[in-house]
Amino acid sequence: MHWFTVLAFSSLTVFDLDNRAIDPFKAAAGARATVFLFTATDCPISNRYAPEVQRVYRAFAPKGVRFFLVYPNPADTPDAIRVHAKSFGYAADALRDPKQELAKLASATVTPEAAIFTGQRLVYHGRIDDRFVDLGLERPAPTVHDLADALTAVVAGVPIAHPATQAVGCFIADFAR
Amino acid sequence: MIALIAAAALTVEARVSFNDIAPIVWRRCTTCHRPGAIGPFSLATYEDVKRRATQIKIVTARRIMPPWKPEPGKGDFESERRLTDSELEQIQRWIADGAIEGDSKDLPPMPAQPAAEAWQLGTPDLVVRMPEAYTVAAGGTDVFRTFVLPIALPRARFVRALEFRPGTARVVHHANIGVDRTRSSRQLDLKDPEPGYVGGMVPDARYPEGQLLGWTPGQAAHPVPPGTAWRLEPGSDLVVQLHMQPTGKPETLQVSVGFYFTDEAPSRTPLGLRLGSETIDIPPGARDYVVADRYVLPVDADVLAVQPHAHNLARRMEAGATLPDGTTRWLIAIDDWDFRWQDVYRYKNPVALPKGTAIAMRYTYDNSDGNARNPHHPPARVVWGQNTSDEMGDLWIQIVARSAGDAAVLADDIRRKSHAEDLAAYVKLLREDPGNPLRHDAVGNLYLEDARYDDAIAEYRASLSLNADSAPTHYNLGFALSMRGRRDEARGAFEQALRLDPEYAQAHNNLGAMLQLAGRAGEALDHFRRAVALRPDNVDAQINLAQLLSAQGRAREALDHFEAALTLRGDSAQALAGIAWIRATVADPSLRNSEQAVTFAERAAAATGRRDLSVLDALAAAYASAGRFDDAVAIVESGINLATAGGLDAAAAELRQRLILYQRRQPYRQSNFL
Repeated sequence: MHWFTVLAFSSLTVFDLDNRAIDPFKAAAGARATVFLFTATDCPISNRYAPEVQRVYRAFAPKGVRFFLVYPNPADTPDAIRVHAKSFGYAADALRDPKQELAKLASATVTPEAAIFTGQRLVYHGRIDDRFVDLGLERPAPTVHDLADALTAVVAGVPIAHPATQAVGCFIADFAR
Repeated sequence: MIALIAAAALTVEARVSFNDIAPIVWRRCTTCHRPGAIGPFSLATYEDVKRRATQIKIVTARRIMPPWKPEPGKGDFESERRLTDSELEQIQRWIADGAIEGDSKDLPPMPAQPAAEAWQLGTPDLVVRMPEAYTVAAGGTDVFRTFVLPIALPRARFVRALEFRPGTARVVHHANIGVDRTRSSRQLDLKDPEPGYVGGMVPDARYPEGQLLGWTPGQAAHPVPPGTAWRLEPGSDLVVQLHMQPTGKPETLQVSVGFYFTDEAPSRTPLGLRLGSETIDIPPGARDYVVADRYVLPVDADVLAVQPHAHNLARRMEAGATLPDGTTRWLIAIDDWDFRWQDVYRYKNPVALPKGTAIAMRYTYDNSDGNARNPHHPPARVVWGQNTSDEMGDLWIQIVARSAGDAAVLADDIRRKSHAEDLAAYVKLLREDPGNPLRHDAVGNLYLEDARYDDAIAEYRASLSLNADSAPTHYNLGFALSMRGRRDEARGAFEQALRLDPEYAQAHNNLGAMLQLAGRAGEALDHFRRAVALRPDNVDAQINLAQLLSAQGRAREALDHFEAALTLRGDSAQALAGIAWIRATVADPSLRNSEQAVTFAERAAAATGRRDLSVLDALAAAYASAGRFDDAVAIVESGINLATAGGLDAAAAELRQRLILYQRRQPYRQSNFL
């Protein structure tokens, strides 16, 4: 099951916006949980989620949850990411994952997709909510807030009802081509 | 066996490379997907396309992109954006083969694309834009807002094309466009503190006669078919309802619309035929609610375009025609209706349908939770209405009578059909919301159009008992009363409207008319003057004022206002006859112009079919002034016959006096004309 995945941190090569290789799990040491939000500067679907991501961030950062925005597209340069994060009002730290290694560990396949780790365990991965049913098919408003529900469970120390959901968006695999 | 394998290997084709599919991408995708254009990302280079390969594979295979909803073979439309089967196969093979680049030396040159900010139809004759920019919030649900764009137009023009430009391209998902000749839309705009107002278009903002105006991303701008330009009146507002989709960050937009004019008056006027229902009432959970309608053509006609419209519950749409000989023709079919990709579909060649053809439409709706687009969760009862949480079911058909002589028959027949549906719809709405004065007003207005004045009066009185402060309701009540000859009550209603809104130009005009009929010419003149000052583009007020001035002998002033009316409405028989009368009968020779009098009076007579007594009087006076006494006598005699047949004894007597004059070969001169 996903939430028993044990990670080999040492092999990760993710970078901050100053091009320093960092271990996000060390950076998040002491956090109750770590959330990686996979995004891309020019994916219209992940961009549309920016306000919702901010809402979740504001709700759970004060509860000890550490958030990182993760850009798995190698074409997203640090400068492009700074501009992007500013114009969409993101407050969380940004990471570059140019080899999609973190995406692989988090089982993330599209942007936007969220992954929640508690310590070394992947306890949730999938959509932020169910607004997008499929490419070209969206609800007027979400009916299930999967990421917020999962974080509520984590904070409460209870099992997550749906630890894996299907996210809809721009495919991370294509960034690696 | 070995030989067989070798032969099979020989038939393996080379892998499809970007060089092979680039022309398809450029033709089908890059028109929108390029920097500065409407597409949310660029699809121009190998890098661009490769980076979206999986997404492209899915959305092309499912025909989500390029966005083109009509099923193939069921209507042959202009500017079809559908990928051909071989284009789709090439794209799919390229991705299956690994989305390789190939030798970039072999990449064909990319055809030049017009600049993203260029007008497709060239420099417009007039550009109107939103007076202020509007900012769409970063997130939340889609925004539906209507904006009023004043059109600075000194005189009426014929429009041959409109081109819509969304400004910040990526926020606007579609636009409905109407023209409001009243001030209804502006009033709503004024009441809303932000630019534009929340919600849809008011009934006063409508398609210009027979035109289907709308905009969807990627839509090519189209001039109207030859001979079908539409008339844009001065003082009109362009009203644009925008469906805006938040992008994740605040977006500022300022829509502009380019007008392209022609001096060529239309030789035929298309009509908007609406099939569908305005009494939609879908129970929660219903998966296959049906709206069906049909219309039998009273004359031979050509269908030029169709525009299906529904909101988020509609799933499948079909429309077709059954000809009198039993053959059938598809007009359109859409299997997976998507409100966000609604469009106007124009036929490559007009669909010729003979008299007696039955045009039918059938839409099905899914109001269950299985429909992801359902605005209600859990599902709720959904009724007809303009809001996106309501539902609609219209098929607009742009149609034109084959022969000009049939145009009026078709227009009347279509008007009757849609009027009956409007009445049914608004009576239903009123029944469910009887405490809402606006519902009474809406039904009253429809009765008014039907000349059911007593019913209209009852609805307006019901409305006023719920809200006595509505100036338009007092005005409409006054109008209905005046049509029933209840002039004193009508005058009171117009006065009430003016107490509530002293700048109500139309109320000044109508109050003036009531006062004039009551013999209070001085007060009438004041109100006509006020009406014209408030709204110089009000043709009726210009004519009323001019006629009263003319009757008072103030020829020069009267001419000014008749001419103003004629500038606004070039074919106004009253203005033509009014000018002709003065030019023929004025005592002052410097104002007299017999030649112009004859020309204008003949045009007025032709326009009224020689059935209007004042026009005939003016025509005879014009002939007499020009020395054509035999013609004058003939016209006056026909006028006397007409008046006698209609029991208009006073008019007949007046014309007999003119007859005596013309028989003596003398022109009629108004001695009191200044």
